[in-house]
Amino acid sequence: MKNILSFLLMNVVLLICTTPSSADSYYSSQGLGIPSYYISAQAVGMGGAGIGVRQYLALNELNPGACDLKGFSSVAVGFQGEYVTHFIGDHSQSSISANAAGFRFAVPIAKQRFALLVALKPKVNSELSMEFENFSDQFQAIRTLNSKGGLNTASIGGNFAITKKLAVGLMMDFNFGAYRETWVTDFDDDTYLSSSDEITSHLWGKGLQLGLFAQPASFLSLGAVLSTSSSLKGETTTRTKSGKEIDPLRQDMNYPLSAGVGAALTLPKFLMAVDFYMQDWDQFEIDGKNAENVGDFWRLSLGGEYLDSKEYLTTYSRRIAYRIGASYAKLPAVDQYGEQTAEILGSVGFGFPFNKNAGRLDLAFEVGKRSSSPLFLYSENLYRLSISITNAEKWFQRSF
Amino acid sequence: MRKIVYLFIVLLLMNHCSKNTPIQNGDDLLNRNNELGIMPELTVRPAQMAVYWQKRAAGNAATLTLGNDQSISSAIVLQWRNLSSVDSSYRVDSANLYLHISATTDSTATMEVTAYEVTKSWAGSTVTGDSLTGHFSTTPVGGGSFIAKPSTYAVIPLTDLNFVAAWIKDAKDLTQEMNGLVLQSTSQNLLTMFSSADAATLAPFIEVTTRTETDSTEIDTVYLSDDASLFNYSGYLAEKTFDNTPQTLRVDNGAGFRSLLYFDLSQIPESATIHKALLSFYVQQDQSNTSIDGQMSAATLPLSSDLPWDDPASLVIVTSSSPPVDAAVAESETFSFDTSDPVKRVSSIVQKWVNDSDSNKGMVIYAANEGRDWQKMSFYSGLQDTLLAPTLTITYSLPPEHRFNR
Repeated sequence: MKNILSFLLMNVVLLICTTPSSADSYYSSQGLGIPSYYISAQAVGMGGAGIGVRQYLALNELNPGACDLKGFSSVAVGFQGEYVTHFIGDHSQSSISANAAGFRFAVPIAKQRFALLVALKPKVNSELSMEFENFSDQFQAIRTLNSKGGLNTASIGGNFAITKKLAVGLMMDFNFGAYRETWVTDFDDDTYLSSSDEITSHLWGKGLQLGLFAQPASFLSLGAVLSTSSSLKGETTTRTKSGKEIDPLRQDMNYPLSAGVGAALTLPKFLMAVDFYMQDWDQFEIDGKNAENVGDFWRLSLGGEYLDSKEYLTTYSRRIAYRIGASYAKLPAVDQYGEQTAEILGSVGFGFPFNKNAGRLDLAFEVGKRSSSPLFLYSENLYRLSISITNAEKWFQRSF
Repeated sequence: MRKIVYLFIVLLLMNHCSKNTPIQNGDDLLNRNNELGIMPELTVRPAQMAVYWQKRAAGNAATLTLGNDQSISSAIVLQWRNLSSVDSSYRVDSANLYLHISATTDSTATMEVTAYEVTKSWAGSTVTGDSLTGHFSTTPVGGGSFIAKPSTYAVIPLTDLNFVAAWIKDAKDLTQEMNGLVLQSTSQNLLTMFSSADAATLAPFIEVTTRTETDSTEIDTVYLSDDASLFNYSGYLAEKTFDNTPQTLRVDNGAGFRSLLYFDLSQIPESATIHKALLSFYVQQDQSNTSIDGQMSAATLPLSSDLPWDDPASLVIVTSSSPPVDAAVAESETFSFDTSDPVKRVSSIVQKWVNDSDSNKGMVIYAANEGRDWQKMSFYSGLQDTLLAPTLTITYSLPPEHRFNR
């Protein structure tokens, strides 16, 4: 019961305290932001690949069909810290941020054929601070934009193992989020009054996730995911420093369909995985009109893991998992020259088991770059640390 | 489970360590309407103007003004309730009124002054010339002349010693039947300013010399208990009458002139943020006078009474916040509420008008030290030459387009 209370408390705090976001990125200013591609910290260490991976202590955030609990209730929380260097022409600067990456809770039911899944995770992130300079004969003004927000999803659903080698998953999503922008104008002349305009957009809607896991051979597993396109309701309010509130603007949007496939090759001591995932951001519409400067998101991920032994009685160093991977993605943001933003990342990761292999701490470190047209004066270097803890315990067990 | 909670708390704390340095050159990157936000400067001229004057109580000023100069004149009323310090059983030998001169329009001129008894009670905080009209004795109780040289005392003998004795007795007996003196000057084109009872130093006093039963003399010095200047204007405009087509917008310390302005701001969107609203005037130098201090303080406040302006009695000035006050100089070509605090206060007034256009009923420009002296500022109304009209120059911004406004 203590565990359940702790879990509930943590869940509530997570809901209240976490706002999906990443470190500053200009690329998050377009569309709804940068899609959050996160399967697990284990997958991050393998370049993000994991749609076709079904492993104990690797709760799959993306594929509800891939769930191996071994009869244990499992909970996983993940966090990511980002350090981004922004290059603007010949000038560079940096930003840093840390945020929740995902939360997942799974309980086995009905002789391990069915598992209840509950999840909370960011879907799209947007964070941006930007300065605009305005000169006149009388003054120099700087307008600063601070923008933070994104779309989360709270999901509930289940995993059903049709056979030992075939499983499906279904999750109902409640999408919700807020985008808050503060525009502050300051002057170099103290006879001018500064201003602060706040623009807040709230979005909400429902969606559906489907997942499939198949193991056609003992060494090969396949996974597929599909998230349906769903409608989003939006309401934007603008409030100026003087307290003037502009009538709220209500809009209808669509959260685009996404789909992905993955394969994993499981050999003694080695795991290799490859994923392809895409989301139809080209069809992102606001009030029936296609959003500007947004293109389809797709990502190719590839990685591998080396684990010498899964036996908890062996030496600890042999139980540590070592991972490496890389990914290439096209982000939705399209630059002024019509070129879509490319993201290339390389990653390394480690898995540290604890509590007699009943839990695992996963670490992953990614290095990469985001850029678009060479003519466009902006690009980013990205350094990201992902941390996840997964813990498995016997909960809700009959004592007779 | 406990480990997860600990990690969760640590990482939440890390989240608060986020550091976001704004990306520069945002206008090269982001494409939003109004991302820069600041609109081209807007200059508005008054849609309506008016001028009026009204006698105002001047008893709380630290100065007293006496004399005449063209269209303005002022008398002084004085009261001593504390003459009780003089022994009323003694015979009054002499009584002299001492007034310290602080400024004058002609320091070499001789000022002729006559003192009359006031026959009606009054209070300095409310008294005006209107309230005492017809309540002065016709027989002088004193008078004299002096050179109006600043930093000297004007000595005015009170020759009606029976009046002085009666005044002393009245103070002693607390009957309060004596209402003091009024000083009037017959000298033309000469205005003189004295320190009043409200001044921190050099307040007026009366020196009374009495002779005791043993034929010795005693001299008592007694300071004023109350005083006030009684300004009057006798120019082109009757009191409490609006001039709605004024050639000159006038504010002054003495005659109580005030000017009204209404600016039509309907072209500014309600969502605008006012960064600066600069209210400026072209000074009509030949009709302005700030010779005493080199400058005078002008103030402005918004009005809440409906247009058109036709009755000063129905004029309602919004006094809920401190007025913008700035220094005007007669010799300058222009006057603006342009120093930091006043310009911000004017900007705040304009912001309220923009947010709620129904609240824009115009504004009043007035002297911040009404009743203090004869300084005045006159501004071109622009009715003859629109280039000389007052201007409200507004710098404002509009909220940027939001990210989903497509």
